Amino acid sequence: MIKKIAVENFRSIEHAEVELAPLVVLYGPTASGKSSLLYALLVLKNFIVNPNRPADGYLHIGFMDLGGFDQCVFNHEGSRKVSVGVWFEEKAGQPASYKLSFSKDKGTIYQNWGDLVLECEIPVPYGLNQTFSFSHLEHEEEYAVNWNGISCSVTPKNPTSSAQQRSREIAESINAIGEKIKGIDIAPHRRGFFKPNYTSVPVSPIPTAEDEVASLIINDPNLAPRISVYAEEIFERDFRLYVPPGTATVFFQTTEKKSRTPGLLVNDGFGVNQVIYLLAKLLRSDVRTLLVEEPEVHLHPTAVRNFARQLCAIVREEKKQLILTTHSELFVSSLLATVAEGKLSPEEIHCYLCLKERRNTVFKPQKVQKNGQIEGGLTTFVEAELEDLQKLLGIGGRQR
Amino acid sequence: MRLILDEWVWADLSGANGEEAQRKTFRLLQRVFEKCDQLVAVNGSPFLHKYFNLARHASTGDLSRTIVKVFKAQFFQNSEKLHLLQKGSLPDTPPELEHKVKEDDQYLVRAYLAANADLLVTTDNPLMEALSECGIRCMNRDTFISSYLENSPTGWQ
Repeated sequence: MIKKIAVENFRSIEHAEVELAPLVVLYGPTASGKSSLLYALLVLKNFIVNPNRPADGYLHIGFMDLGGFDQCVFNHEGSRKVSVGVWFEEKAGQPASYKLSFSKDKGTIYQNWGDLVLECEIPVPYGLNQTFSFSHLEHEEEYAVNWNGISCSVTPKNPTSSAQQRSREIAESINAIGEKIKGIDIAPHRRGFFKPNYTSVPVSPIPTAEDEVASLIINDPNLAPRISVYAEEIFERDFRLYVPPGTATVFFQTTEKKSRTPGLLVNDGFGVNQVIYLLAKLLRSDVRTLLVEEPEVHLHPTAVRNFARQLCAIVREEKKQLILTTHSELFVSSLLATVAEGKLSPEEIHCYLCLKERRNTVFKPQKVQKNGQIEGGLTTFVEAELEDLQKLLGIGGRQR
Repeated sequence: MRLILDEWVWADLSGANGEEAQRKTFRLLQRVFEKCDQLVAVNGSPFLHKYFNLARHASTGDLSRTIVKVFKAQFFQNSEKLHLLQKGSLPDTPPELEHKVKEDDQYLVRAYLAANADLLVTTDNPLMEALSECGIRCMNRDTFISSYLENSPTGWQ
């Protein structure tokens, strides 16, 4: 699980450090910079997946081209470096982090694993064609670490069998950091599926196109049944695949439990369609952290509540990390209600109010209590209604 | 300052006591929200039951629905503005008050003691007299609202 993100000079974020939990909820006014935090993680993933492209390429996040470095650097100041850093949950007491800072033509990578600090300067694009050598001392045993900025090999100075075994473990742990970053995915705000049937297509590192997500479902025999379990809880509707004999065409179907009427997913409402898409991305076995933009849009309030509860169940039971943005007070209230019911602990959810202070986005933490209350309340969602209420009651402006 | 408000709040906010009462009580809550003061409520209490009933019967477009929503966001979900007590965590009613205070109102006394509250605001004058005799600081709604809204922050004292 990612424990912390630090972002500098990216879009409207000049500097932000955000502590994460298994479930992170970002809310705040439109255009306050919530999504920038999500996109920053995808920029980092882009680099890890393929650093051998111009800086502008790191800023093409699959479903969206952010317009290149000059458009994304804070305040359009080309002299600044865009930085994205992530810290991971400690495993066996070893803190781990990875940070990339880059300008248009060069970058710096920092990676930390326990006491070992790796740092290098690289050109951009970077063809992974350089090796940086470090030394790591552990229990009086010295290991040589050869690192290319993303992955490494480790060899013991004294090659005993135990030291060789340990060197493999160290390399695995260090290389796992990059794999964890690859395990980040996004479910952007969109209708999922526009067609009744699909065939399998190649899937990109950030699969957001409907054919790609359909392929994820088709190629994983466990995914459709797992999606179905959650869809039944949310909509009282299952999800199945139908393959006509002798074809490679797969139809996506749902069945409404009450009426027992099967139908094609494409004929279901927007809400069902987008949730199936989102569940497909979330329940992928290789995804550890999913970034979600406004998951509740197009859902009836009852479904919003059911959906929020199921997301909490997925976070807890499937050990997934969810970082999401929302404009729905009901959605946040439903998440808080699960905390009050003891189905999610306050430590498992972090809430942030995102605000623009001058040009800079700030993320203000609002601590969740065991009883489902939140520090400072959810007042940002009722500001407009409060203003209308004051007018309707003839109170005028704020009474101070 | 920690305040315990009686169920009159909901009668006022629903409009049952007239537009002026609705306006004043809404203003009062806004002032509490803006100041460093905090309300105290007990889960499952008549106070929250009245709030729930107002929420349940408010239709879309109703003024009371908006009031309910604003209260929820500003107070009910806000750990800084509403000290929410669990029923089971309340102390017993002091023996000297057991016979002087109606059973339905005893939760107010118990909440006052549990939260170490500063003031209980009520429209029930006999309750106010009984509690004042036992050292519980009480104030009548009208007097409190006037002084809280019109005077300096500590003007009510």
